[in-house]
Amino acid sequence: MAQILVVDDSSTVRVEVSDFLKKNGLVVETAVDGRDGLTKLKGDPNIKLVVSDVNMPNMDGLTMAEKIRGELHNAAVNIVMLTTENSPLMKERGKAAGIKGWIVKPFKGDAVLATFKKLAGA
Amino acid sequence: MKHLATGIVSERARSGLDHFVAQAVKSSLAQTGTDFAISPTDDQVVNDNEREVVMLTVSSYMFRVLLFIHFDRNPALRSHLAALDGHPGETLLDEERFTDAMMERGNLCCGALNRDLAHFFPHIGMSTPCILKRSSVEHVAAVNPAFTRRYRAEVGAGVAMHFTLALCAFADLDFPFDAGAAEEVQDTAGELEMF
Repeated sequence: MAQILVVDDSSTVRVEVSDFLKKNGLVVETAVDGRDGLTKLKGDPNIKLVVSDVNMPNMDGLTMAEKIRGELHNAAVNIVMLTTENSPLMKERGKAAGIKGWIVKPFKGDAVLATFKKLAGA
Repeated sequence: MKHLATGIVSERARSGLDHFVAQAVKSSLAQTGTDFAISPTDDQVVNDNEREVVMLTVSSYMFRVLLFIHFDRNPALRSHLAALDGHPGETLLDEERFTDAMMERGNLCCGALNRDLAHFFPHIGMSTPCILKRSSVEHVAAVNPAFTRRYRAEVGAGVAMHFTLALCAFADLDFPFDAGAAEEVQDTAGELEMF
């Protein structure tokens, strides 16, 4: 039963982010793309925060966010994008899907830990 | 082969690209707190041991930038990447992990270059990186670049890497790059922007 779901097609990023969060007392699940993220989220109602990349194979992170709201009808889970993209158009699409925030990589754990804990209900 | 139209790239645009490549390489591949140096090189044969490249592109309707990060699967780079990923003293021996780490470093480099160019060209997009044989770079002339440059960088103690930049310009290219102002720009990468 995880609190945070980390979605990224890069194993390097999945390990980096999830290791940091686990070391700081959070329970973390990972997924390799948006499709996998939807499956993991459906299977674990305790997940309160999704941290997701944008550009991924099979299903990108913004499409996943739209499906979380539109198909899973899950308006409660918090979604934060973690990506190298910084396009205003992408951010607008994310806002329309109800995402809570945007982080441009690289991941700097100490800068976001307190907010992540709050969004994860920890 | 059909030749693509090529524009003229201004001197300050070339200087801007040199600066942006240097910043992108520094932020994505150099260990914080260690000496970093990058400079254009005339070396035609860069390093025979660097047999692969990460290729990344940043494109608009006016141009396409291709950046090739040459790399060698040697112990020094394996240790360097492990340290960058927060595991100092380790070595990325697993080939899949090494490849993924190299791709992610390319992704960070591409993102930094994309953000710097987006200040001047808002309608811009970046690719996901891919790995090619280095011999591919020898054929870059086939895309008729208006500007090419090779760089050599010291990214860590005893870790040197080479880079090849190729710019395809579909029109004359110029942008008001100001080296002084660029030094003052704060990179907000890593910060959470709340909506």
